[in-house]
Amino acid sequence: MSRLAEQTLDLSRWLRQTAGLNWRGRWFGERPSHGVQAGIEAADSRDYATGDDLARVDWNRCARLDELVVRQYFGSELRALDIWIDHSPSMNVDDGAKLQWAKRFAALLALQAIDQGETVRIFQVADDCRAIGGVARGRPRLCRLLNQLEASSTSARPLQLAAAARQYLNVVQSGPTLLILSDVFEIESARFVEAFRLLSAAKVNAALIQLHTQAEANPIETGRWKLADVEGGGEQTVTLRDEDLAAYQAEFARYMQGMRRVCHRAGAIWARVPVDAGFDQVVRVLAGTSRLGRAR
Amino acid sequence: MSWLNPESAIGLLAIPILCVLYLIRERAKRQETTVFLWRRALSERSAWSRMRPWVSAAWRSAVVVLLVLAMAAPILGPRETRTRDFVFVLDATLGMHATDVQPSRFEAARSAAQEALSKLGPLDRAALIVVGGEPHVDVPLTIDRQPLEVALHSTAADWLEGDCEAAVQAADLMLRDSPGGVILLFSAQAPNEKSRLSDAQLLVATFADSPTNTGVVSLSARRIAHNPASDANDASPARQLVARFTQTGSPRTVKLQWLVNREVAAEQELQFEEGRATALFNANVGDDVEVRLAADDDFALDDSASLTLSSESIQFADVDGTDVVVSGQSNPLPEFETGQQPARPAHRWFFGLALLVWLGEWLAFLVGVTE
Repeated sequence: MSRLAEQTLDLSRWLRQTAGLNWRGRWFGERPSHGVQAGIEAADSRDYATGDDLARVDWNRCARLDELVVRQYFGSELRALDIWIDHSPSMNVDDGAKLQWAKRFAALLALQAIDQGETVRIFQVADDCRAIGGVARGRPRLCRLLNQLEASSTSARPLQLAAAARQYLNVVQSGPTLLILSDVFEIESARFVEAFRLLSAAKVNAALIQLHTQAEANPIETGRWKLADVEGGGEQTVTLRDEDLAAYQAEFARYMQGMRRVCHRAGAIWARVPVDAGFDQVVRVLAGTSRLGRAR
Repeated sequence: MSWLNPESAIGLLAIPILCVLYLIRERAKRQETTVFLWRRALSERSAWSRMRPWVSAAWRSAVVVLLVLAMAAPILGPRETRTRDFVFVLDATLGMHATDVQPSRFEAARSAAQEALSKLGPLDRAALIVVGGEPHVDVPLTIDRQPLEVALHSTAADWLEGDCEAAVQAADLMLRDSPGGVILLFSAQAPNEKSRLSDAQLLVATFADSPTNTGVVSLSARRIAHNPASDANDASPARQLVARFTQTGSPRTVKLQWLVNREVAAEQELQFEEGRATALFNANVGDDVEVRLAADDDFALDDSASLTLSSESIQFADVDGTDVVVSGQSNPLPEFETGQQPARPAHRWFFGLALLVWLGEWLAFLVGVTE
């Protein structure tokens, strides 16, 4: 088993213990389906979670074993979780912290989704959208998928979400759940606005987890710097002072707010994750995002 | 300006070295994912904020430049002693009695000469030629100021005509071995010809404020004759001389001086009534009597002006000095360059200035003006 898979299993166990309840409901299993949901064959049962439909509670089992569980059925519609992982150069800074985090988190969600009986596809996104491996269903396929995910490396091309969205929508059959793991550091804000407009029009149930490092949000180093743009190329020499850092932080906050507004208008979930913060803090953020059902 | 240690200018190389270091520091590179956000944030900087690095660099460069200047020890003046010789030519002739310049032309000229004397450098030499009758050297070239000051103070205007040009020539002769010598002429009138001077520079200060000729008249009657007939029973051969004058202008003051055997015997002021005045003087037979007048306006002798010796009239044989001083205008003494002592290197000033600039830069850094 690969290191990524091991970490994923560890995280999955931890996640169940700490915030498992909050993770259910929105992104897995009971999400609204655009197709016919006519499943009658019982597939599995699981513990009751807040918000579950009481009609699905297995009352017999409850009376017999004193356990509050809900029944799960195989539906006629194949439920799919698609995950975009941004592989643009900006994800590779700080020893690839953001990309590594995105891979681990994608693996974790994939595991959760597989456990929920869903299919998982992972896409490598830069200025295009390419699937990593095939559709994963069941743990054996998942392990193979995770190995392929771990082997994937960053692209040299900058992120273009709109182009990726067009390419993605060409191959998507029905409205899946799409989770985007990206820093979305695109210079032209019109491009990601267009991307979310396209996804919204295609009734893709999208969620954006915007990744950044704490240094990107709150840079602390002043002095003379030559800033090399890893996305667009080019360099800029600047003397950074405390007031410049403050201005940058304000600009960063404005940018994040802009992303949040874009997602909100497109009906997408938005969450902002500092990848180098503690994982429990990250989960807490994401759990809060899930419970509310919209970006905050 | 000269330099005591010009080789210290090599220290200016520190500036390009500092610039290179600055640029090297500038090259600290970091990979940024949000350069577009940095651009937006930095575009809101004020103009001063954008200029601040250059101000800091200029400030620090100024400290380096001042330190290098201090080490080079600039000498803001002559490096060697430079002396000059000056000859003061003071016109003390008859015409300088005129009072169109207050208190008189001569007094004004003397004051100007004293002032010029006070301006000379401590190692400059000076001489004084007084023009009264024949020009004579009152004080030869000397570095000592005292005899010059005493001579200027004690000199009075003479009642004789004189030749300033001859005095200037004499001064030029004195300065023959003094390259860069200067002749300072204090007179009522500039000499006509300056081309005769060999090497010396002639600077003239004139003292006259009369639009018309100023009458300064000298009458003289030579040798009072002895009259045996009238002097036979007279124990005292004194004779009363009577001089009569007629004015045509409106003199403010007319001074009259009696000279006996070329010595001033008496001075008096003439009181004109209806344009006429009479002066009396007792002289002995055999005396050589002269009468001199100075007025500050047109003045003319009466046709019958005469010296009367008792009942005998002696027509003036010599009438000297009418119209000896012409109209003119006062001109101050032009500026002149005196000798100089060697200047001391000003490195202490530059060190002090560099320290001040450095302190200022440090304070500016503390308060956040520079970086």
